[in-house]
Amino acid sequence: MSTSTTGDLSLTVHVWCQAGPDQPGEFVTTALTISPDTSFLEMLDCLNEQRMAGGLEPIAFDHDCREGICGMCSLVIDGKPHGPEQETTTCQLHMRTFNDGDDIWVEPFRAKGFPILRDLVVDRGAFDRIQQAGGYVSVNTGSAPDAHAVPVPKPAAEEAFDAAACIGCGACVAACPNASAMLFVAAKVSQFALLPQGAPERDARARSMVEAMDAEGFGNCTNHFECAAACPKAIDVTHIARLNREFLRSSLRPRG
Amino acid sequence: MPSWIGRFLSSSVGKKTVMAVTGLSLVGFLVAHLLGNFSLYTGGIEGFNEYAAKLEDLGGLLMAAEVVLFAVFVIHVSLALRIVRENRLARDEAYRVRATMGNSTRASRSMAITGLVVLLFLIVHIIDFRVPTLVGDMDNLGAAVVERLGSPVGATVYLIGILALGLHLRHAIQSAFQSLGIQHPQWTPILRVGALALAAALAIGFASFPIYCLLSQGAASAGVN
Amino acid sequence: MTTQPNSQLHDHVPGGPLDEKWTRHKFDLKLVNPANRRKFEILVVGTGLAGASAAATLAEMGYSVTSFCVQDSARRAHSIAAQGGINAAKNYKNDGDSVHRLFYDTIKGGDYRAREGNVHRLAEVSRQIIDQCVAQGVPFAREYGGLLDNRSFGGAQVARTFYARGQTGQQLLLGAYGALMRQVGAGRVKLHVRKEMVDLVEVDGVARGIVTRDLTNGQFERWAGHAVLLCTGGYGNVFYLSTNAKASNVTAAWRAHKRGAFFANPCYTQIHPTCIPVHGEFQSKLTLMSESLRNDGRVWVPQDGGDGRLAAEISEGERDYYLERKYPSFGNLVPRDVASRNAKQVCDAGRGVGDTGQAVYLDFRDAIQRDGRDTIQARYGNLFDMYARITGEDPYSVPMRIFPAVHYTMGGLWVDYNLESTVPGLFVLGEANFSDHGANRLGASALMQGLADGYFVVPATIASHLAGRTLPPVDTSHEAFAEAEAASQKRFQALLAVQGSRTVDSFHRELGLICWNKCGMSRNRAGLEEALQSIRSLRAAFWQDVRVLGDARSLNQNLEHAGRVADFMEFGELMVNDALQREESCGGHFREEHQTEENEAQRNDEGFCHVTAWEHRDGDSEQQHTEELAFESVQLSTRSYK
Repeated sequence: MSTSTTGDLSLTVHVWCQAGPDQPGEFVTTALTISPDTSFLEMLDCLNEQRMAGGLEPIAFDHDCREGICGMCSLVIDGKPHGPEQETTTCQLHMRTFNDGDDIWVEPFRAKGFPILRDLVVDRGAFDRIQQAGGYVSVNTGSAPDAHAVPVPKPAAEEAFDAAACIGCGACVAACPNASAMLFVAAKVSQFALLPQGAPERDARARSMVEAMDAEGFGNCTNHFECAAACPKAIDVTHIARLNREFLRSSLRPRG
Repeated sequence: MPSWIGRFLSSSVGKKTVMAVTGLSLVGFLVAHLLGNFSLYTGGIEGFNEYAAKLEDLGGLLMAAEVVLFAVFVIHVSLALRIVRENRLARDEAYRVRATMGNSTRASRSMAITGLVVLLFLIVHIIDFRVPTLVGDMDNLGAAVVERLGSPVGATVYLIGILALGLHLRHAIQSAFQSLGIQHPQWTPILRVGALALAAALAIGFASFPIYCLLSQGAASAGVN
Repeated sequence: MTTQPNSQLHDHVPGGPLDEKWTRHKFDLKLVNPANRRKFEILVVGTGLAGASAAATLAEMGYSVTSFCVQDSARRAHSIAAQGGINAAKNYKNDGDSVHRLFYDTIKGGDYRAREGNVHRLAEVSRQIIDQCVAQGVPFAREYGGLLDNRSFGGAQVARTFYARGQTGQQLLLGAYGALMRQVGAGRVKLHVRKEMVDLVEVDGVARGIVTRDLTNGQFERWAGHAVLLCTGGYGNVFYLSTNAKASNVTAAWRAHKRGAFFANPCYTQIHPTCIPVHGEFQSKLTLMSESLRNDGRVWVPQDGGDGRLAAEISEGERDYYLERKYPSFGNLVPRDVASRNAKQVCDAGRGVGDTGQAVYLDFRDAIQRDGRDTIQARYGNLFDMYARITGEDPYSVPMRIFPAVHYTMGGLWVDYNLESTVPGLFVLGEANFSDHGANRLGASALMQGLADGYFVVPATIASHLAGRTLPPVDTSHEAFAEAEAASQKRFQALLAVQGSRTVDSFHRELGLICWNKCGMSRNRAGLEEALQSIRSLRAAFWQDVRVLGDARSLNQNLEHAGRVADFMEFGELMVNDALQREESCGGHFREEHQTEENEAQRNDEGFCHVTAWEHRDGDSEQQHTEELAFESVQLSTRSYK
């Protein structure tokens, strides 16, 4: 492995290993020396190279863009989704956050709605299914009016953007003591509730997305707000309040 | 029941709404209860008994109010049990390392336990005072209150119950506004402070009674000796 | 390698005046009766901007669509990482923009190596794209009056770039993803995630299906259809280190190439000038920072090589703001290829900064002094935060260090005006095709092209295939499927069977280094010939010494990676070959033998004003074809940014 240089961190990394969906899992422990300038996922790459050199299969983990935008990376690091840094995805977390001699515990996102596929890889298909229930504006290609036909007040556009920044990573679910997916659903409902383009389907959207969320086995929101603290895009719980309001409003109105 | 109500009540957000509405109703009751209790301070045991008698004079109206209160309470508790069960099921395997992200509070994380303690406390409280008055077994309610709350055991039980209530309310009141979607960039921070102040006021207000009774009983027994 | 000019390459660009071609073509195209559309099964591979928009639009029109992606959700495709913006000739700023100007800028920016007809169409539909995205609820930046804001981007002389903070790609992709999810929910698109296309299936010479490998359990599956759309992105990861996502790969395109689809201009790769430099041996990818930074940041290196002092200790007179010095009219805003190449030149001269000497400064000191820290923070706050997170340095107080990195690939599968490849029924969209950017892509044009192809072009042109050809019923029991599946199985088994001693990653890194050093920002004959040999021997070593652990019947990321690296090895050779035969410098392809006295790129319009398209032949050989580029509306000139 890498030759140790001054400033490198000696770490003991405990990673959850599980051969398949219904198999038992356990933590495997690896001692590792790593430069503080590497990213957390590069540390795992390195750990895997070390495992493979010893004839062990690499540990599976999800990742793709490695620049904090695709939402593919996950991991609960020392009890925190995406690790200890605020507004940071795991792929953007760097080892300089840790100290020499640290023990690091790496677990998958745990929720009934996110079944484990292997090791640290979970199935977040539930989020796609929730989106299918109404996370869109129904506008067929080619039927749109001119982009300037409907002005949108800047504050509404900005707030909609804050919600739209969601990367669908699932950290909100992983962090929630109840494994609730409210922040994810709220972000989408809120984005469209704030924009005139979303208005025609407002009621149906809130109702059907909440129904879809409930069907996936996520827990109920009890306003711990851990989701917002874990969210790498700092999406605020005000969007959950808006979802609650939208849902209440839609429930009191006639179903179309 | 129309199907939309059923759907609403069984949805996660609908449940929150009902929890918030029933919870805030119970808070309303607590406020009234506390204000009534203050008659002990303003009029002593006699004043307290007068207040109790006025309530009894309401007759059917009181009965109706109590039935409604009971129903609200049952809904709140049974829904809470259901939510707790569902939330447990939503994460079948716990994390090995538990860490808070910093936004949850001890109060928010212990709602189920504080709720349960409040429930047990309430049963004790009703057996202590409401059952005897109902069956006409208690002539001097005020004296009984002072005696019960003034005993070391009684005071401890009541203080534990009220502490649990306080913790429960610390999360509950401000949380209810969120659940009802009452959210405003300027007003919510103020509302939140108000909610915390109300929770603290209720807890301190109620806690003052066992402490007052304990002190006055102590003084009385000291006087006897 | 022999050249057969135009032997099989019909671009099918319709006749008539440039600005009427697309309208006329749409009218001339055959139509599929709405009632018949559901009888056509369209397979769409990839769910980025091109794939998601195409799948959603075709489903809206009534076609039966099946869509595939390798990620766990359609929303993760790498289009999501695009930061800067999307161009459209809306002229909302009243600064003289027009369809023709966008067309002209794109052709010129591409160094006159793109097809006029395609590029003009791109400029035409750019306006509809914005309308569509706004209607979908994409939260573009707005002005206080509630109307859309535009900025000038990548050196354009007009403000035509629509943007959504630094996350334009994300917001556009989520719009297309929403449209796709709507169709999935309605049952009109069947979406399969974590499935990788490993082969193309042809029946009677027409693309009629694909074989996929399920990444969760290793199962091979066959899918039959009437047309196949490849929307699988670019091949930048052949360089190992790039700004691409880790899963971005050339496999789908390469498999199609091996089944007969010509590969065009693979040597055109775009190196983006403003990326965070490499830090160490375990670096797994490079992070791009929006080139909008160059609007306010000043690029410099020390006057003298080997200057080890901190930036703050180097006085004004000892700094060389080389872009401002060499290109006084464009300064720090020269096009990407020019900025990148100049950074390489100063680093090669030993004047680079940082531990590795492979970086130049991007300094905001003057901008902060001029506009104040708050203004700069408002403009670039998220980028500065990202830089600080990755490097541990504060860019408000010390200059950023940047270095170019592989970012986008202009080459890709050859397509005609209908976006159909040389395999009938195989359409190629977005970065996976070669069509619209020539030898260099302008900033904010990739998103435009991906969405143009998916929302507007293919939904119209696919009818030429569906209605124009007789497509007999084919199902997955056809022997062509059995053959393709068996070949795929064999390939994956072979990877597991090597049981050597080196990891897949080590081979990939080595391949990347060869490509970067010899076929990167600048190339020369000797280096390219050397690279050819190195890649060949590396490929041989790979098949003798790679060690892939685990089995083929479970989620095995190592095996996935091995399959992709195996294809990159083959592709790398073609890329180098293409760079070798193109005896000129143009856009992203800089041949050291072909430069002016001032070290600027020297095009050879006499000999190379054409597209080079490669045909795969049995026995691993590649046959070269060319498509001559005829320019009717623009005068070829030398790009000058002086």
